[in-house]
Amino acid sequence: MMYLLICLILSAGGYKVVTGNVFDAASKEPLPMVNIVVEGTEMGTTTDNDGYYSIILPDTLKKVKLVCSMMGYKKVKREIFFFGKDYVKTDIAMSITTLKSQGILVSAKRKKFRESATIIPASLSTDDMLILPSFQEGDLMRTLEALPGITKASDYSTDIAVRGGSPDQNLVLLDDIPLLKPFHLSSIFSAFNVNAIKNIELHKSGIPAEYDAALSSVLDVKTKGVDRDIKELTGVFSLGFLSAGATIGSPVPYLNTNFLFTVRRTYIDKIIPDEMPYYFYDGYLHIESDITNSWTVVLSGFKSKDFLDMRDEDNEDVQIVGIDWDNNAMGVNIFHSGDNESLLHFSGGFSKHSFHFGFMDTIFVTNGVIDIATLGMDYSRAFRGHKLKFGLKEEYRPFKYDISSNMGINYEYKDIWSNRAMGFAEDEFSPMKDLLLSGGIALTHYYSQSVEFDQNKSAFFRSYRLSAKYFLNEIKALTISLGNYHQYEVPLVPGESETGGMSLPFYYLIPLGGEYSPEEAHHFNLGYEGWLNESFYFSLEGYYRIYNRLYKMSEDAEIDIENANDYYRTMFDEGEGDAYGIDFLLKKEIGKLRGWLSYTFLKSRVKSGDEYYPSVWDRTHNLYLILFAMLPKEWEVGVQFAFSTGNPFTTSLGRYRYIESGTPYDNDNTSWWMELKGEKNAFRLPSYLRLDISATKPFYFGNNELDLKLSLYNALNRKNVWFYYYDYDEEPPVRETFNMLPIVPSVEFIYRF
Amino acid sequence: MRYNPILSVFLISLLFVSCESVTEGPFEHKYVINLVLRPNMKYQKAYVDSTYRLDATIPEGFKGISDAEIIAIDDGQDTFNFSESDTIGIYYSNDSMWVKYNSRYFIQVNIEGHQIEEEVNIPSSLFIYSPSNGDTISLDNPEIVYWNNCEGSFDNMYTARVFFEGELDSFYTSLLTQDTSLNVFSARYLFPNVDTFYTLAVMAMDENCFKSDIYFDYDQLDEDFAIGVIGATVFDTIKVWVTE
Repeated sequence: MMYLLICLILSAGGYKVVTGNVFDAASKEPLPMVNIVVEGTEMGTTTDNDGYYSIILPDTLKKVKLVCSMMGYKKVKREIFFFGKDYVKTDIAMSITTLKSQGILVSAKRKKFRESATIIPASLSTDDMLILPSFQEGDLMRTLEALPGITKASDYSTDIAVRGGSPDQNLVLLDDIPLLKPFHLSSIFSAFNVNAIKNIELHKSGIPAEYDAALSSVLDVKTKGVDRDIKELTGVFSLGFLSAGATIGSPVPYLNTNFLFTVRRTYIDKIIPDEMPYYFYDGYLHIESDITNSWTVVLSGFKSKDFLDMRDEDNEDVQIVGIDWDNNAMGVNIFHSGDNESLLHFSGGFSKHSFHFGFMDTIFVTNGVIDIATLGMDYSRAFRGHKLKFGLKEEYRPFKYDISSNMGINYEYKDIWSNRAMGFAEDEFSPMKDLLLSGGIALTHYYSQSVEFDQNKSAFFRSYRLSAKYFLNEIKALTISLGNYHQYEVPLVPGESETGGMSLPFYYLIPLGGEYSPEEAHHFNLGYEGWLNESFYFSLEGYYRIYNRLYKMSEDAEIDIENANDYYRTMFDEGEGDAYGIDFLLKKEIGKLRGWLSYTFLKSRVKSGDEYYPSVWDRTHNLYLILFAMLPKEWEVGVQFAFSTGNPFTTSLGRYRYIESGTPYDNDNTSWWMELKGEKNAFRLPSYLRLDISATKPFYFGNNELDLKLSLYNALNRKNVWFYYYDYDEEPPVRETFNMLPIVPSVEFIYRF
Repeated sequence: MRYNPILSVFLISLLFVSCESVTEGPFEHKYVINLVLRPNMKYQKAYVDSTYRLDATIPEGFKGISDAEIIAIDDGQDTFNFSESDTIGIYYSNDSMWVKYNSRYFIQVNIEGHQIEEEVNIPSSLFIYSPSNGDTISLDNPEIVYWNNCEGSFDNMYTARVFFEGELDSFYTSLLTQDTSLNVFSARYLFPNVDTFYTLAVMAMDENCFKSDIYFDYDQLDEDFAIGVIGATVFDTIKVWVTE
């Protein structure tokens, strides 16, 4: 009918007509009631129920600019050239505004607030990670440092410590599959590609009983699938100074399936292969399929690799440093929703962390493989006011390590493994108005075996969780939670899991057995959270953690190679520790100016012998201010301001001449200066301060979008101190400073289609 | 002027930059002792020194402490005294060849009214029995060097170190092993140059020397006012000729 009308108008002469359909860019669904006006005129129309529009224009016009607007969608401008034609058809896609997506997130958060007895876990959205100022690229782990309770060792590491616990005390899950050391380039970048991540949750308090495998926190990362509303191929191409990447996803309607594949790779080795014989890449695969109305299967895959082959310039046969570091994971999650009130979940996964590190061919060579195989099932059901959850989990971890060096140290351990079988039950209910209680218990059978060390262990461990939330009103509540936590493997790292802010390219995780019992901690948390008004969410939580049993690598280990048993027995020193502090978060989640303020007061101590000393993660004050501002012309500006107390360090109290003892001569000419160290971690580096700025602007090409993101990391070029050292080429020696990262600019292009 | 949040953050940042404090530890004075008993050596040598301020200028060479009193007493209550040499802080034993293998000595060092006491257990004799001492071996063949099991060697560890011939303080490379043999052919990396004579020294150390030498742990003494090492090292050597 409309077509006939247009034909009549055109045949009458003296007019031009523009028609087309307006639809949602993501779902491709038609959008009714969209306002369309011709810029600079009063001419316009609105779309009908099918998203169809037509505008009749005077014949004299050679081009027009249509402006489409609708509540909740970004305004779209489209320039149309007639090129002598009287009739032009153009379809227009519109994307939802950030404000609308913010509203969706806020309502989900309020639902969680009402339904969970614990404080809402800290979370980050993909948008946050994409818009925040980058160090080269948006990085999940770097963004986490801006949340309360998080500390980091240096700018050179994305590894995090949560509430004073060391990084190895964080359980990192990717779609429920445990990952070890998900980093690149030591740990300067994390292996979590922002374009592949749907959302993350960091559980710091009230961690569910089913995750009783880490003392400090659970970082739950979920990969992104294709949005259910999207009906055709979608994707992202990205290019930055660091890497190039692509994300491709599509629904497969006849299989009720969708898939999303994300990959990125550094390319500097292709540009200057001689100077930089290094690359890394990571890839993700997410396949989601609705087999029936009630059964859904999600397949996840992950692979990351770092490779370095640095050779002697004069002799290509000599390898100076060789690194081959892999992280692979694959898993399946099957969900069955029997009705609206129950959910059955099966999961299975396998992850493999392997490394090779070689220095000067044979001077030092080490290899390692840690496999993790998991199986689990759980069942959740709402029943007479209770939300019940039961489950079983099984995790098997074999470990293989070998170390050889020209110093004569040669170890090979390949028959070490551990197994954890766990049953857990959780319940959440409201015994009275405004009070929500939850409790959980997990019973774990732990078995570890080591043929080389001749050390086995078989024991049961119980863990409990108790949480309560009292609602002061609809939007404010008090919370309390407590529980005990276990950790069954510890890293063999000199200096109690402290690596001075850089992760080594090799990682020896040792299952505890024999006389060693799993590490144990108790958490007590008291919180207050809610909304000040429609825009501002806040949370305030005080915590106290007691570490009953911690292990650190012993300096007095019996390195008797013939007797691995003695070595294992003396490998770790047992210690204790505690941490207490306050986490505060004030977050503005809606509006053109968003962001958050996070403040952490943290004291963390470790006990060695009879003495307590500050752990390397102890930071008294930590302040982060994050701002996102939407400016005219669709510029979005991000600002991150970070301030924290300086890292604790062990200062030098003097110097002395060191003379070798194991020599067949007595010549003091070979002596050199060494430093007398003071009390461990008793001194502080200068305060840490950093300001990062970013600006993002979208450009539109038809229905596609190109985002340009400019970032300045450490915009003030502040010389934050990483550590001090003395230069003995001068007399007296001069104290030099090794600084953290200087000002670093970056440019990213992100093309979405 | 309109309120600008970004400008505010920038100004706050500048405020934080302007206030910072650096803390440094106070100087700690300690005596530093190095006394390694070597039965192979004719005279025993001890160094007595102290810690120095990091910001103090120390002249080249050894700057030690004078007038220390050093005594070694064996199980038979025989006493061996040390005397200060021409170089301040370096002391030599008055007697020669008095340190016996597989024996025990009680060491006493008195410095400026402070006393340091340590017991030293000398490992048993270490000798290379194949090839014979004094022989020169060549890397042309898969020659194996054997030595005896040295009792008292910490953790049954041996250190093999390589020196340019006749220069026991020259460049060396080393390896640690718990074997009592070394295939010099497969350990060729220890001998970097060709057409060169080397000295291969096999050593055994007591616990104090081992920790000082391998871990650079110089805090071996019980006293709070002193650091250093008082221990024992035994060794034997053999010549090695390296051809292409």
